[in-house]
Amino acid sequence: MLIIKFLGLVLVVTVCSLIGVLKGQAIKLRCQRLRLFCESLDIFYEYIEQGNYELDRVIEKAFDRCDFLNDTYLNAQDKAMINDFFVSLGHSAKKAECDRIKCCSIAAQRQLAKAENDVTQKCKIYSVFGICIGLGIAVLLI
Amino acid sequence: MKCEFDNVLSRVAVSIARTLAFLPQEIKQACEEIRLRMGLPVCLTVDGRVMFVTADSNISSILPKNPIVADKNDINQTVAMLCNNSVYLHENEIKQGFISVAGGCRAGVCGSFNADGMLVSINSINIRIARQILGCAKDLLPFADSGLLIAGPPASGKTTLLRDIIRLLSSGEKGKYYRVSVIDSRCEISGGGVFDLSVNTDILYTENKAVGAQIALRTLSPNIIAFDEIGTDAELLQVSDCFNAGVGIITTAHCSTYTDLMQRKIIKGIIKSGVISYNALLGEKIGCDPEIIDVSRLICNVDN
Repeated sequence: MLIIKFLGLVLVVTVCSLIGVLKGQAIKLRCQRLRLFCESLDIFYEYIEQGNYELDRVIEKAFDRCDFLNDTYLNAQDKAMINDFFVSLGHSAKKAECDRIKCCSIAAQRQLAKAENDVTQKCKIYSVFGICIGLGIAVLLI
Repeated sequence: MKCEFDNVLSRVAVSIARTLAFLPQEIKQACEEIRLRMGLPVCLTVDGRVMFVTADSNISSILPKNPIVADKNDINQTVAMLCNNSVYLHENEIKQGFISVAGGCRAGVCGSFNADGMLVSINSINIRIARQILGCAKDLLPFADSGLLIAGPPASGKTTLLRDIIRLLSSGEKGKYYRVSVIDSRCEISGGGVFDLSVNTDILYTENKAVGAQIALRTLSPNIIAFDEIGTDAELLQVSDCFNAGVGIITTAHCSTYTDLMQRKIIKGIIKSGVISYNALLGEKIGCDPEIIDVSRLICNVDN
Protein backbone atom coordinates (compact mmCIF):
# COMPACT_ATOMS: atom_id res chain seq x y z
CA MET A 1 0.00 0.00 0.00
CA LEU A 2 2.80 2.37 1.00
CA ILE A 3 4.73 1.50 -2.17
CA ILE A 4 1.71 2.32 -4.35
CA LYS A 5 1.25 5.62 -2.53
CA PHE A 6 4.96 6.41 -2.96
CA LEU A 7 4.79 5.59 -6.69
CA GLY A 8 1.71 7.81 -7.04
CA LEU A 9 3.47 10.73 -5.39
CA VAL A 10 6.52 10.27 -7.64
CA LEU A 11 4.17 10.23 -10.66
CA VAL A 12 2.48 13.47 -9.59
CA VAL A 13 5.81 15.25 -9.03
CA THR A 14 7.16 13.93 -12.37
CA VAL A 15 4.11 14.99 -14.36
CA CYS A 16 4.01 18.47 -12.86
CA SER A 17 7.76 18.92 -13.41
CA LEU A 18 7.41 17.68 -16.99
CA ILE A 19 4.62 20.18 -17.68
CA GLY A 20 6.83 22.96 -16.36
CA VAL A 21 9.81 21.84 -18.44
CA LEU A 22 7.68 21.48 -21.61
CA LYS A 23 6.25 24.95 -21.13
CA GLY A 24 9.80 26.30 -20.86
CA GLN A 25 10.79 24.26 -23.92
CA ALA A 26 7.89 25.77 -25.93
CA ILE A 27 9.17 29.27 -25.22
CA LYS A 28 12.67 28.25 -26.36
CA LEU A 29 11.30 26.67 -29.56
CA ARG A 30 9.29 29.81 -30.39
CA CYS A 31 12.48 31.82 -30.02
CA GLN A 32 14.39 29.38 -32.25
CA ARG A 33 11.72 29.50 -34.99
CA LEU A 34 11.59 33.28 -34.98
CA ARG A 35 15.39 33.40 -35.24
CA LEU A 36 15.30 31.03 -38.26
CA PHE A 37 12.57 33.15 -39.87
CA CYS A 38 14.66 36.31 -39.43
CA GLU A 39 17.70 34.64 -41.02
CA SER A 40 15.55 33.37 -43.88
CA LEU A 41 14.19 36.88 -44.45
CA ASP A 42 17.76 38.16 -44.90
CA ILE A 43 18.47 35.45 -47.49
CA PHE A 44 15.13 36.21 -49.19
CA TYR A 45 16.05 39.90 -49.38
CA GLU A 46 19.34 39.07 -51.12
CA TYR A 47 17.63 36.91 -53.73
CA ILE A 48 14.96 39.52 -54.45
CA GLU A 49 17.58 42.26 -54.75
CA GLN A 50 19.55 40.18 -57.25
CA GLY A 51 16.35 39.65 -59.24
CA ASN A 52 17.41 36.41 -60.93
CA TYR A 53 14.74 33.96 -59.86
CA GLU A 54 10.97 33.78 -59.82
CA LEU A 55 9.18 34.03 -56.52
CA ASP A 56 8.41 30.30 -56.08
CA ARG A 57 12.04 29.39 -56.43
CA VAL A 58 13.22 32.20 -54.15
CA ILE A 59 10.79 31.14 -51.41
CA GLU A 60 11.96 27.53 -51.75
CA LYS A 61 15.61 28.54 -51.48
CA ALA A 62 15.25 31.09 -48.67
CA PHE A 63 12.69 29.36 -46.47
CA ASP A 64 13.74 25.72 -46.90
CA ARG A 65 14.49 25.45 -43.17
CA CYS A 66 11.19 27.03 -42.18
CA ASP A 67 8.72 24.16 -42.38
CA PHE A 68 7.30 25.22 -39.03
CA LEU A 69 5.48 28.38 -40.06
CA ASN A 70 2.05 27.01 -39.11
CA ASP A 71 2.90 25.08 -35.97
CA THR A 72 1.69 25.71 -32.41
CA TYR A 73 4.91 27.14 -30.96
CA LEU A 74 4.41 30.45 -32.75
CA ASN A 75 1.77 32.65 -31.13
CA ALA A 76 -1.12 34.43 -32.90
CA GLN A 77 0.86 37.65 -33.37
CA ASP A 78 3.79 35.80 -34.98
CA LYS A 79 1.46 33.95 -37.35
CA ALA A 80 -0.39 37.16 -38.31
CA MET A 81 2.91 38.89 -39.11
CA ILE A 82 4.12 35.94 -41.25
CA ASN A 83 0.75 35.64 -42.99
CA ASP A 84 0.61 39.36 -43.86
CA PHE A 85 4.11 39.10 -45.29
CA PHE A 86 3.43 36.16 -47.60
CA VAL A 87 -0.02 37.23 -48.77
CA SER A 88 1.07 40.22 -50.85
CA LEU A 89 4.45 38.94 -52.05
CA GLY A 90 5.41 39.26 -55.69
CA HIS A 91 2.97 42.03 -56.62
CA SER A 92 5.36 44.98 -56.44
CA ALA A 93 8.44 46.38 -58.15
CA LYS A 94 11.86 45.41 -56.76
CA LYS A 95 12.34 48.49 -54.56
CA ALA A 96 8.87 48.19 -53.00
CA GLU A 97 9.39 44.46 -52.48
CA CYS A 98 12.76 45.04 -50.76
CA ASP A 99 11.21 47.74 -48.56
CA ARG A 100 8.43 45.36 -47.51
CA ILE A 101 10.94 42.65 -46.64
CA LYS A 102 12.90 45.16 -44.51
CA CYS A 103 9.69 46.18 -42.69
CA CYS A 104 8.81 42.57 -42.01
CA SER A 105 12.38 41.93 -40.86
CA ILE A 106 12.12 44.78 -38.34
CA ALA A 107 8.79 43.42 -37.04
CA ALA A 108 10.24 39.90 -36.82
CA GLN A 109 13.32 41.17 -34.95
CA ARG A 110 11.01 42.87 -32.47
CA GLN A 111 9.09 39.63 -31.91
CA LEU A 112 12.39 37.76 -31.57
CA ALA A 113 13.64 40.23 -28.93
CA LYS A 114 10.45 39.67 -26.91
CA ALA A 115 10.81 35.89 -27.29
CA GLU A 116 14.44 35.98 -26.13
CA ASN A 117 13.36 38.04 -23.13
CA ASP A 118 10.74 35.40 -22.32
CA VAL A 119 13.38 32.68 -22.54
CA THR A 120 15.63 34.52 -20.06
CA GLN A 121 12.88 35.32 -17.61
CA LYS A 122 10.28 32.56 -17.87
CA CYS A 123 12.03 29.33 -18.84
CA LYS A 124 13.61 28.57 -15.49
CA ILE A 125 10.57 29.85 -13.61
CA TYR A 126 8.28 27.38 -15.39
CA SER A 127 10.63 24.45 -14.67
CA VAL A 128 10.98 25.36 -10.99
CA PHE A 129 7.26 26.11 -10.72
CA GLY A 130 6.45 22.72 -12.13
CA ILE A 131 8.62 20.94 -9.60
CA CYS A 132 7.27 23.05 -6.73
CA ILE A 133 3.63 22.44 -7.66
CA GLY A 134 4.35 18.74 -8.01
CA LEU A 135 5.96 18.64 -4.56
CA GLY A 136 3.09 20.73 -3.12
CA ILE A 137 0.47 18.34 -4.45
CA ALA A 138 2.53 15.41 -3.18
CA VAL A 139 2.67 16.93 0.30
CA LEU A 140 -1.10 17.53 0.26
CA LEU A 141 -1.74 13.96 -0.75
CA ILE A 142 0.47 12.65 2.04
CA MET B 1 -7.44 19.47 -77.83
CA LYS B 2 -5.67 22.36 -76.09
CA CYS B 3 -4.79 25.36 -78.23
CA GLU B 4 -2.76 28.52 -77.59
CA PHE B 5 -5.90 30.22 -76.23
CA ASP B 6 -6.23 27.60 -73.47
CA ASN B 7 -2.56 28.05 -72.57
CA VAL B 8 -3.07 31.80 -72.22
CA LEU B 9 -6.14 31.24 -70.02
CA SER B 10 -3.88 29.85 -67.31
CA ARG B 11 -2.54 33.42 -66.96
CA VAL B 12 -5.93 35.12 -66.72
CA ALA B 13 -7.90 35.79 -63.52
CA VAL B 14 -9.77 32.66 -62.48
CA SER B 15 -13.25 34.20 -62.54
CA ILE B 16 -12.82 35.32 -66.17
CA ALA B 17 -10.87 32.26 -67.32
CA ARG B 18 -13.67 30.02 -66.06
CA THR B 19 -16.11 31.65 -68.52
CA LEU B 20 -13.67 31.89 -71.43
CA ALA B 21 -12.76 28.21 -71.07
CA PHE B 22 -16.24 27.24 -72.31
CA LEU B 23 -16.09 29.26 -75.53
CA PRO B 24 -16.53 27.27 -78.77
CA GLN B 25 -13.30 25.74 -80.08
CA GLU B 26 -13.47 27.64 -83.40
CA ILE B 27 -13.61 30.95 -81.51
CA LYS B 28 -10.62 29.97 -79.37
CA GLN B 29 -8.60 29.05 -82.46
CA ALA B 30 -9.46 32.29 -84.25
CA CYS B 31 -8.98 34.56 -81.22
CA GLU B 32 -6.07 36.99 -81.58
CA GLU B 33 -6.40 39.09 -78.41
CA ILE B 34 -8.03 39.08 -74.99
CA ARG B 35 -8.65 42.57 -73.60
CA LEU B 36 -9.39 43.26 -69.96
CA ARG B 37 -10.34 46.79 -68.91
CA MET B 38 -11.19 47.73 -65.33
CA GLY B 39 -14.93 48.02 -64.87
CA LEU B 40 -15.64 47.32 -68.55
CA PRO B 41 -16.77 44.25 -70.52
CA VAL B 42 -14.12 41.72 -71.52
CA CYS B 43 -13.41 41.93 -75.28
CA LEU B 44 -11.89 39.44 -77.68
CA THR B 45 -10.47 40.18 -81.13
CA VAL B 46 -11.60 37.36 -83.39
CA ASP B 47 -10.61 37.51 -87.07
CA GLY B 48 -9.98 41.21 -86.69
CA ARG B 49 -13.42 41.91 -85.18
CA VAL B 50 -14.20 42.99 -81.62
CA MET B 51 -16.40 40.50 -79.76
CA PHE B 52 -17.92 40.61 -76.30
CA VAL B 53 -18.31 37.62 -74.01
CA THR B 54 -21.51 36.90 -72.11
CA ALA B 55 -21.71 35.31 -68.68
CA ASP B 56 -22.91 32.05 -70.26
CA SER B 57 -19.79 31.80 -72.51
CA ASN B 58 -21.37 33.04 -75.72
CA ILE B 59 -19.85 35.73 -77.85
CA SER B 60 -21.56 38.69 -79.45
CA SER B 61 -20.45 41.36 -81.87
CA ILE B 62 -22.88 43.80 -80.21
CA LEU B 63 -22.57 44.76 -76.53
CA PRO B 64 -24.83 42.22 -74.77
CA LYS B 65 -26.98 42.77 -71.67
CA ASN B 66 -24.95 40.35 -69.57
CA PRO B 67 -21.29 40.73 -70.53
CA ILE B 68 -18.54 39.50 -68.22
CA VAL B 69 -16.81 42.50 -66.70
CA ALA B 70 -13.25 42.71 -65.40
CA ASP B 71 -12.98 44.34 -61.97
CA LYS B 72 -9.91 45.61 -60.09
CA ASN B 73 -9.25 42.21 -58.49
CA ASP B 74 -9.36 40.51 -61.88
CA ILE B 75 -6.85 42.98 -63.33
CA ASN B 76 -4.48 42.65 -60.35
CA GLN B 77 -4.76 38.87 -60.33
CA THR B 78 -4.12 38.70 -64.09
CA VAL B 79 -1.01 40.91 -63.79
CA ALA B 80 0.29 38.71 -60.97
CA MET B 81 -0.37 35.54 -63.00
CA LEU B 82 1.21 36.98 -66.16
CA CYS B 83 4.33 37.74 -64.11
CA ASN B 84 4.19 34.35 -62.35
CA ASN B 85 3.82 36.26 -59.07
CA SER B 86 7.18 37.90 -59.72
CA VAL B 87 6.38 41.46 -60.79
CA TYR B 88 9.87 42.52 -59.65
CA LEU B 89 11.39 40.38 -62.44
CA HIS B 90 9.30 42.12 -65.11
CA GLU B 91 9.92 45.67 -63.91
CA ASN B 92 11.81 46.81 -67.04
CA GLU B 93 9.15 45.39 -69.31
CA ILE B 94 6.31 46.96 -67.34
CA LYS B 95 8.05 50.34 -67.57
CA GLN B 96 7.83 49.92 -71.35
CA GLY B 97 4.19 48.94 -71.13
CA PHE B 98 4.26 45.20 -71.73
CA ILE B 99 4.83 41.82 -70.06
CA SER B 100 6.37 38.90 -71.95
CA VAL B 101 4.57 35.67 -71.31
CA ALA B 102 6.08 32.23 -71.81
CA GLY B 103 4.96 30.86 -75.17
CA GLY B 104 5.62 34.03 -77.14
CA CYS B 105 2.48 35.88 -76.08
CA ARG B 106 2.78 39.48 -75.05
CA ALA B 107 0.50 41.40 -72.74
CA GLY B 108 0.31 45.14 -73.23
CA VAL B 109 -0.49 46.99 -70.01
CA CYS B 110 -1.48 50.56 -69.30
CA GLY B 111 -2.41 52.64 -66.27
CA SER B 112 -0.74 55.32 -64.18
CA PHE B 113 3.02 55.75 -63.81
CA ASN B 114 4.98 56.90 -60.76
CA ALA B 115 8.01 59.24 -60.74
CA ASP B 116 10.37 56.28 -61.41
CA GLY B 117 8.50 55.40 -64.58
CA MET B 118 6.98 52.30 -63.03
CA LEU B 119 3.37 51.47 -63.81
CA VAL B 120 1.76 51.49 -60.38
CA SER B 121 -1.89 51.10 -61.12
CA ILE B 122 -2.73 48.97 -64.12
CA ASN B 123 -6.25 49.41 -65.44
CA SER B 124 -6.05 47.73 -68.84
CA ILE B 125 -4.43 44.58 -70.21
CA ASN B 126 -4.28 43.40 -73.81
CA ILE B 127 -3.03 39.82 -74.16
CA ARG B 128 -1.93 39.07 -77.71
CA ILE B 129 -2.02 35.37 -78.54
CA ALA B 130 1.02 34.29 -80.53
CA ARG B 131 0.68 31.49 -83.06
CA GLN B 132 2.96 29.66 -85.41
CA ILE B 133 1.50 29.00 -88.85
CA LEU B 134 3.89 26.73 -90.71
CA GLY B 135 4.29 27.57 -94.38
CA CYS B 136 2.54 30.97 -94.26
CA ALA B 137 5.67 32.76 -95.53
CA LYS B 138 6.40 30.47 -98.51
CA ASP B 139 5.48 33.24 -100.97
CA LEU B 140 8.09 35.51 -99.40
CA LEU B 141 10.91 32.98 -99.71
CA PRO B 142 12.20 34.14 -103.15
CA PHE B 143 12.67 37.67 -101.77
CA ALA B 144 13.96 36.83 -98.29
CA ASP B 145 17.72 36.83 -98.70
CA SER B 146 18.17 40.20 -100.39
CA GLY B 147 16.68 42.38 -97.69
CA LEU B 148 12.98 42.12 -96.82
CA LEU B 149 10.71 44.50 -94.92
CA ILE B 150 7.37 43.06 -93.77
CA ALA B 151 5.00 45.97 -93.17
CA GLY B 152 1.39 46.13 -92.08
CA PRO B 153 -1.09 47.52 -89.58
CA PRO B 154 -1.16 46.19 -85.98
CA ALA B 155 -2.27 42.56 -85.60
CA SER B 156 -1.93 41.87 -89.34
CA GLY B 157 0.45 38.93 -88.82
CA LYS B 158 3.89 40.54 -89.34
CA THR B 159 5.58 38.60 -86.54
CA THR B 160 3.88 35.35 -87.61
CA LEU B 161 5.30 35.80 -91.12
CA LEU B 162 8.71 36.78 -89.75
CA ARG B 163 8.77 33.66 -87.60
CA ASP B 164 7.97 31.43 -90.55
CA ILE B 165 10.42 33.03 -92.99
CA ILE B 166 13.18 32.51 -90.40
CA ARG B 167 12.20 28.87 -90.11
CA LEU B 168 12.07 28.35 -93.89
CA LEU B 169 15.49 29.93 -94.49
CA SER B 170 17.09 28.05 -91.59
CA SER B 171 15.64 24.70 -92.66
CA GLY B 172 17.10 24.77 -96.15
CA GLU B 173 13.84 25.41 -98.03
CA LYS B 174 15.61 27.92 -100.26
CA GLY B 175 18.21 25.43 -101.44
CA LYS B 176 20.72 25.93 -98.63
CA TYR B 177 20.75 26.13 -94.83
CA TYR B 178 20.97 29.85 -94.11
CA ARG B 179 22.60 30.83 -90.82
CA VAL B 180 19.97 33.06 -89.30
CA SER B 181 20.56 35.24 -86.25
CA VAL B 182 17.39 36.45 -84.57
CA ILE B 183 17.39 39.45 -82.27
CA ASP B 184 14.38 38.70 -80.10
CA SER B 185 13.83 41.75 -77.89
CA ARG B 186 10.56 40.62 -76.32
CA CYS B 187 10.67 36.82 -76.73
CA GLU B 188 7.86 37.17 -79.26
CA ILE B 189 9.62 35.68 -82.25
CA SER B 190 10.95 32.53 -80.61
CA GLY B 191 8.41 32.36 -77.76
CA GLY B 192 11.28 31.63 -75.42
CA GLY B 193 12.02 28.43 -77.33
CA VAL B 194 8.41 27.34 -77.85
CA PHE B 195 8.24 28.08 -81.59
CA ASP B 196 10.13 26.09 -84.17
CA LEU B 197 12.75 28.31 -85.83
CA SER B 198 14.55 25.29 -87.28
CA VAL B 199 18.07 23.95 -87.01
CA ASN B 200 20.35 26.74 -88.11
CA THR B 201 19.00 29.65 -86.09
CA ASP B 202 20.74 31.52 -83.25
CA ILE B 203 18.59 33.62 -80.95
CA LEU B 204 19.85 36.66 -79.04
CA TYR B 205 17.51 37.84 -76.30
CA THR B 206 18.29 41.52 -75.95
CA GLU B 207 16.27 44.74 -75.92
CA ASN B 208 19.04 46.60 -77.69
CA LYS B 209 18.87 45.60 -81.35
CA ALA B 210 21.97 47.63 -82.20
CA VAL B 211 24.05 45.67 -79.67
CA GLY B 212 22.43 42.42 -80.73
CA ALA B 213 23.28 43.04 -84.38
CA GLN B 214 26.91 43.81 -83.45
CA ILE B 215 27.24 40.62 -81.41
CA ALA B 216 25.66 38.54 -84.16
CA LEU B 217 27.94 40.02 -86.80
CA ARG B 218 31.12 39.50 -84.77
CA THR B 219 30.47 36.09 -83.29
CA LEU B 220 27.80 34.19 -85.23
CA SER B 221 28.78 34.80 -88.90
CA PRO B 222 25.15 35.03 -90.02
CA ASN B 223 23.81 35.02 -93.57
CA ILE B 224 20.63 36.74 -92.34
CA ILE B 225 19.81 38.89 -89.32
CA ALA B 226 16.13 39.08 -88.42
CA PHE B 227 14.34 41.25 -85.87
CA ASP B 228 11.02 42.91 -85.18
CA GLU B 229 10.91 46.67 -85.95
CA ILE B 230 13.73 49.12 -86.10
CA GLY B 231 12.96 52.03 -83.79
CA THR B 232 16.04 54.25 -83.48
CA ASP B 233 18.76 55.82 -85.58
CA ALA B 234 21.38 53.73 -83.73
CA GLU B 235 19.58 50.55 -84.78
CA LEU B 236 19.38 51.82 -88.36
CA LEU B 237 23.12 52.49 -88.35
CA GLN B 238 23.88 48.99 -87.04
CA VAL B 239 21.57 47.44 -89.60
CA SER B 240 23.33 49.36 -92.40
CA ASP B 241 26.67 48.09 -91.03
CA CYS B 242 25.36 44.53 -91.20
CA PHE B 243 24.25 45.03 -94.77
CA ASN B 244 27.64 46.48 -95.68
CA ALA B 245 29.16 43.33 -94.19
CA GLY B 246 27.20 41.25 -96.70
CA VAL B 247 24.45 40.11 -94.34
CA GLY B 248 20.81 40.11 -95.41
CA ILE B 249 18.22 41.81 -93.19
CA ILE B 250 14.62 40.83 -92.51
CA THR B 251 12.55 43.12 -90.32
CA THR B 252 9.04 44.45 -89.79
CA ALA B 253 7.36 47.84 -89.60
CA HIS B 254 3.97 49.25 -88.68
CA CYS B 255 2.04 50.98 -91.44
CA SER B 256 -1.16 50.60 -93.43
CA THR B 257 -0.13 51.99 -96.83
CA TYR B 258 3.09 52.65 -98.71
CA THR B 259 2.58 56.36 -98.21
CA ASP B 260 2.50 55.88 -94.43
CA LEU B 261 5.59 53.72 -94.69
CA MET B 262 7.64 56.28 -96.54
CA GLN B 263 6.57 59.04 -94.17
CA ARG B 264 8.41 57.34 -91.33
CA LYS B 265 11.95 58.71 -91.19
CA ILE B 266 13.58 55.48 -89.98
CA ILE B 267 11.84 53.33 -92.60
CA LYS B 268 12.61 55.80 -95.36
CA GLY B 269 16.22 55.70 -94.18
CA ILE B 270 16.43 51.95 -94.22
CA ILE B 271 14.87 51.73 -97.67
CA LYS B 272 17.05 54.44 -99.17
CA SER B 273 20.21 52.91 -97.65
CA GLY B 274 19.72 49.86 -99.88
CA VAL B 275 19.52 47.44 -96.96
CA ILE B 276 16.01 46.42 -98.02
CA SER B 277 15.28 45.28 -101.56
CA TYR B 278 11.69 44.14 -101.15
CA ASN B 279 8.74 45.21 -99.09
CA ALA B 280 5.81 42.92 -98.27
CA LEU B 281 2.73 44.96 -97.33
CA LEU B 282 0.00 43.22 -95.37
CA GLY B 283 -3.66 44.18 -95.28
CA GLU B 284 -5.76 44.49 -92.13
CA LYS B 285 -7.38 41.08 -92.50
CA ILE B 286 -5.15 38.24 -91.29
CA GLY B 287 -4.53 35.56 -93.88
CA CYS B 288 -4.55 37.86 -96.92
CA ASP B 289 -1.58 37.44 -99.22
CA PRO B 290 0.95 40.22 -98.80
CA GLU B 291 1.63 42.60 -101.67
CA ILE B 292 5.32 42.36 -102.53
CA ILE B 293 6.99 45.32 -104.12
CA ASP B 294 10.53 46.13 -105.19
CA VAL B 295 11.52 49.07 -102.99
CA SER B 296 13.26 50.90 -105.84
CA ARG B 297 9.73 51.61 -107.08
CA LEU B 298 8.80 52.95 -103.64
CA ILE B 299 11.77 55.35 -103.68
CA CYS B 300 10.85 56.59 -107.15
CA ASN B 301 7.25 57.16 -106.12
CA VAL B 302 8.30 59.13 -103.07
CA ASP B 303 10.88 61.21 -104.88
CA ASN B 304 8.39 62.12 -107.66
